[in-house]
Amino acid sequence: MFKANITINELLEIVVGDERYYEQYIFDQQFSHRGWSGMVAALEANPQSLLDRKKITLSDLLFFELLLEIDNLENQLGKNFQPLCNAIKQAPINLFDNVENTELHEVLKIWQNAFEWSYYDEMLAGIEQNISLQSQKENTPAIKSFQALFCIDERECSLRTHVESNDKNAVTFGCPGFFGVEFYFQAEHAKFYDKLCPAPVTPKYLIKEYDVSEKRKHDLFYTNKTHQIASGYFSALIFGFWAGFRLIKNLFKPEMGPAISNAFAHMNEQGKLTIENKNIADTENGLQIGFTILEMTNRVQALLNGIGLINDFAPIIYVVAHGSSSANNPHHGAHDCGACSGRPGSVNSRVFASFANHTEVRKLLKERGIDIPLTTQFVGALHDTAADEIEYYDVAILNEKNKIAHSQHQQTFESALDLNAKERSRRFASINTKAELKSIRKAIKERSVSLFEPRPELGHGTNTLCIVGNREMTRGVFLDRRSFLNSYNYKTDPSGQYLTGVMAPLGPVCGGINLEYYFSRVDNYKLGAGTKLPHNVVGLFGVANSSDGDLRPGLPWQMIEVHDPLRLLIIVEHYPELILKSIQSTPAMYEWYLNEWVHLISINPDTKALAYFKDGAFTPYKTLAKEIHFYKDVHSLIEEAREMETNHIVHATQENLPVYLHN
Amino acid sequence: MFFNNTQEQLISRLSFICVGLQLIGITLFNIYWLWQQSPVINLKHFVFFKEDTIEIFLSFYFDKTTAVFSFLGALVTFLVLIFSKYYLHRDAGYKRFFNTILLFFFAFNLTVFAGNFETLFIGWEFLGITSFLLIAFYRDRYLPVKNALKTISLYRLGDICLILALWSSHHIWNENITFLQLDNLELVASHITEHYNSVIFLLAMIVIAATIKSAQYPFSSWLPRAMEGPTTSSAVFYGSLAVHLGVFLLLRTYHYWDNVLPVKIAIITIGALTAIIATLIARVQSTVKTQIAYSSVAQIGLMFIEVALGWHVLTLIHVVGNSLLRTYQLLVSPSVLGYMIHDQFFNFVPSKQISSNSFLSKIKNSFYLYSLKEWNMDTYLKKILWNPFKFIGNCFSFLSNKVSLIICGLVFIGGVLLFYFDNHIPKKIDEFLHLFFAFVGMILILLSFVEKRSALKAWILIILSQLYVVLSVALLNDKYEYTEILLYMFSLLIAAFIGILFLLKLKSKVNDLSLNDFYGHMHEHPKLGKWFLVACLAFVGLPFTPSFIGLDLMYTHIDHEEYLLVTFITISFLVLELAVLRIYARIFLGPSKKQTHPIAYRSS
Repeated sequence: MFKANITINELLEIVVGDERYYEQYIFDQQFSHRGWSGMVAALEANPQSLLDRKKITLSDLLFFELLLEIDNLENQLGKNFQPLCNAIKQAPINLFDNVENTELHEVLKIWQNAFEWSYYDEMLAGIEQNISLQSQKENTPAIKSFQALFCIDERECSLRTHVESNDKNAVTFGCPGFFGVEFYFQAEHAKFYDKLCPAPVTPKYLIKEYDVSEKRKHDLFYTNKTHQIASGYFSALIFGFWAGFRLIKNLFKPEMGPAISNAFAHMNEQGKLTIENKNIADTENGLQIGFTILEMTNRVQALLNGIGLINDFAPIIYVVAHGSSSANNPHHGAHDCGACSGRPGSVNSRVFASFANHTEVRKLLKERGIDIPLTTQFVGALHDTAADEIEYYDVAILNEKNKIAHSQHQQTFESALDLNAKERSRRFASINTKAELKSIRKAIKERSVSLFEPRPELGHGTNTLCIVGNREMTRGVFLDRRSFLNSYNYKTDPSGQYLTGVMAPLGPVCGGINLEYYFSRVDNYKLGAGTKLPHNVVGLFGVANSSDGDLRPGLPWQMIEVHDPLRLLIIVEHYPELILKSIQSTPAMYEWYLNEWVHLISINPDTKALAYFKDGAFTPYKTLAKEIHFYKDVHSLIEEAREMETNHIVHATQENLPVYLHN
Repeated sequence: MFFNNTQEQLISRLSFICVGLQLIGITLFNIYWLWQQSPVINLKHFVFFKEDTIEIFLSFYFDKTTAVFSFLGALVTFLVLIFSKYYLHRDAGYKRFFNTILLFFFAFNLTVFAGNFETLFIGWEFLGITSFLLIAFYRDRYLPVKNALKTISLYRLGDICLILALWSSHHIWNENITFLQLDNLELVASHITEHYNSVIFLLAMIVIAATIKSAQYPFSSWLPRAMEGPTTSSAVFYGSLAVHLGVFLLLRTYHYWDNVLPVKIAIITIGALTAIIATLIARVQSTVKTQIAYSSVAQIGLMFIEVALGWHVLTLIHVVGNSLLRTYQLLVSPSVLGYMIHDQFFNFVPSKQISSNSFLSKIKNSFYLYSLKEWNMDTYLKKILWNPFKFIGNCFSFLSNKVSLIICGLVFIGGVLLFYFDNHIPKKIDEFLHLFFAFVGMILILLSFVEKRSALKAWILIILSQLYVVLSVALLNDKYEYTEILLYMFSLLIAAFIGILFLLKLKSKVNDLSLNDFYGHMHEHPKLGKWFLVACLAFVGLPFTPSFIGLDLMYTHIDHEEYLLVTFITISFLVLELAVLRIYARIFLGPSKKQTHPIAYRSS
């Protein structure tokens, strides 16, 4: 066995014997520790996932493991052991056989569909009724105070509602949180790039940060000096007492620190970015630094056309991205913006705002039919979804009138955030939803910097819907933070050419998020990460339970316990034929709908009739629900909502509110 | 214990009140005590049992070591409980966690306030049991249960060393000594010169017990495996309180071994070796909690050296500092991912890849590999300790069928008859007989330890083994009174009987009770599991059950010349707890076989 170029097949011959069983053996072997095998496979495909790159392949792992097994077998059985197959009587299994559809599958399918449609039917009926209600009202304000672009994220849908209710003249839009600008970002002094766009996209641009005067803070408790004998000795003597004080302070008065991942620290507020590319030769590592005017214009045009904002601009247009802060949370990337590959979208919002404010860009846009008046200014911002705080960027460029307006709008946002915090607080048992608004807001903020809080925010838990269409469809419906809201105006897109661009990220981003939560929910022990409590950080790339266990992929229990495992329902307001054409544009996109990973319903813009996509075609759908609830006051609605008894699915699902329309 | 699992507020508030009051009480008392120029206080409290030379009583003792440890214990437990209130929110084992931590706190206090070896031992045993319960907190997975059994095996070894120390000390002093008396240096010195060998033996036992508890070399293998519980329990146990108790034990018995040079050298050697080896292992750890655990152990090695050199104030400061540091580090350990990645993002320096074949790098690689394998501590423990037991058990497996069990029963009855006619038996046969019965008792318990097919059979083997052990000790000493034997046997038989009852009840529901895997019946029958555990613990001789007193009494009756007898009986007691807990764990814990609720993979 000790020859130079032994192959895996030869090793398998020693252990297994019969070639027909090799595949099954390798499958059993690798899937017994799917965390590690999966990690190796992922690193083989994407070596840049690790900052400290390591070269490893799955066949390396196989080879090594087979050698270990042979060593162990020799240890126990001596040098002459018989291969496994000599004792096997059953026939080899074909791993890629079709799965037979049994009665069990049918029963499970019926239950799953019943679970899903109980909610969807009610929601669709609510939307139908709402559409007819809204058509009788005059909703679009004549004079707009401001417009705001938010991410489609369902956590922003509640904030949008509260912003609109606080300022009747404000209009909000939703679009994927990277705002159509894809690039790599390099913070000042950073040695690596951050990709800030959806995962399947490979950007060709680089934006660098410079002129940052603030220094990064350090936390001494993570140094490995405490793990050596001599320095550990002094650390224990002196540092130890400091640790005691820190512990007491962190328990009773939690506040932000260098060890807490801070969404606002992703990009420095005062720093400058290399947004514009003046010279085409300005490149680094094959990436162009900054965007040219033409490239900027294309992107702004695509986004504005996609959301249907091509005229009637307000004096200030906010571009609000989102990120998340949390303490003691190895899974904090899951709370950040999915459209920005799991990072806060602050750079994107600032970059887009600066594109749209650029005079050259506006000149070109005017030629293309989008006339943005000089009085309109774009302002980038970042919303921290865990702490419910907001930060604005580059407000110095605002003109006098806008400056005054901006300070008023800040108030609007603040009170909207108060209400948002209250709406979130109903899911947290430790915060009294009936308490005063400001104290709830403070409690929510403390939650995001508390070391002992395993649920700083609930992330995408409870996500179920993705609505692509006008805001009018859902204005007044209490969505309970369950819906992705993507602005789209069929009137400005009669041929459906922008629809494809709008729907393209929905599969990977929204569908991906939904499936992530779905699988982690249906079996948290096998497909999810289990409970967070015994998690132990392994290397700097994963978590395992204690020192012995396998790596745990998937989401931890604390993130999914409020989630109902329903597949995403995408509702698009356009003609079914055009929608069908859009989703069939690429096989990758069509796969999502044809293979029933997500549901798709179309609302005919003229007749308002519903049609459900199945087996390659749209069939008419009639809702069954008759009764829709109405609510007057959002405060009482939130305060009276039921709290779950235990986090078993049977109790957890009762925490969700039925569909309510505002009276 | 009386609240519902969902009444989290109530549970946590009650725990806070208990521990908080204790904390305040201790702080105030310490201040008062320091004010009074710190006299040493000794309180004899509750007498369990009294005979001529035997008096088993509970005694409390307070000096500066106690002051520091009790304050530290109350502070750390209080802070960790506050942390846990939010951290364990909506966990299915919320109530169980708080119960166990409060029990742990009680055990810790008992140990720290102990005035004599018996009280210390009670606290020590309770600590072991709560460790087991907390490591196996996620009892529906395979790995926590397996690791909990590993840890409790080692802890039991430490317990046995303490029992032997108790036994030895009784024969040296002819009474049950208190620590206060130990402080009397002249008394100690005179005894040492008189019974040098026994004293060395006693001190060796104490040192081994301390070494095991503080995870020093060669017993460090349990520490990384004990990180299976929630982060807060790891912080309390292995970061701070439980793991420093070895140091506490050495501090407490300092005057005993102060003048015994070999023991001092042994302690310093162990401390130094551990400090070096644990640091090396810590440097190769790939997970953050085990890294913190090993560096904590290295510091404890240094503390051992400090205790041996007599620098007690420094030791106490070191204990407090290390405890607080490691508790904090463990509690914030999940943040290390975000922080270090961020750090790497800005400060990454790629490591230079030099591979050379030089002698120095070969040595380096050898150290690296050795440290990865934790210096083979786990393997050696298995080879030297557990495998021989299993081997002997398997050798005698021909005895483990119904026929031989009946024969054993008959022989036992024969033995009881012999006991009645004690006076008529010549001395020589008497000696042989009690050795023989002890030997059979030991074989039976080893058989139970390796029994794989039937839980009921394993349980019966345990009962029989204990009966034989009792018989052996009863036959040995003519002065043995009936009351003592009856006391022990009575409590034993009750616990045994309850155990059989529960097992039969479970068998009627699940049809098969074998021991070759973990069956996880706790999920479907939680109440049955809970009471079976109580029966097991009572059986094992947990303090506050009559069997504990019986245990102590039996040891006091064994003359200190009877080496063979003591070996057999000690092995019996060592394996007893393990065999019992093994039955409990295999039947009730681990992943359940039913698919009606989520089940974890074996590797998770």
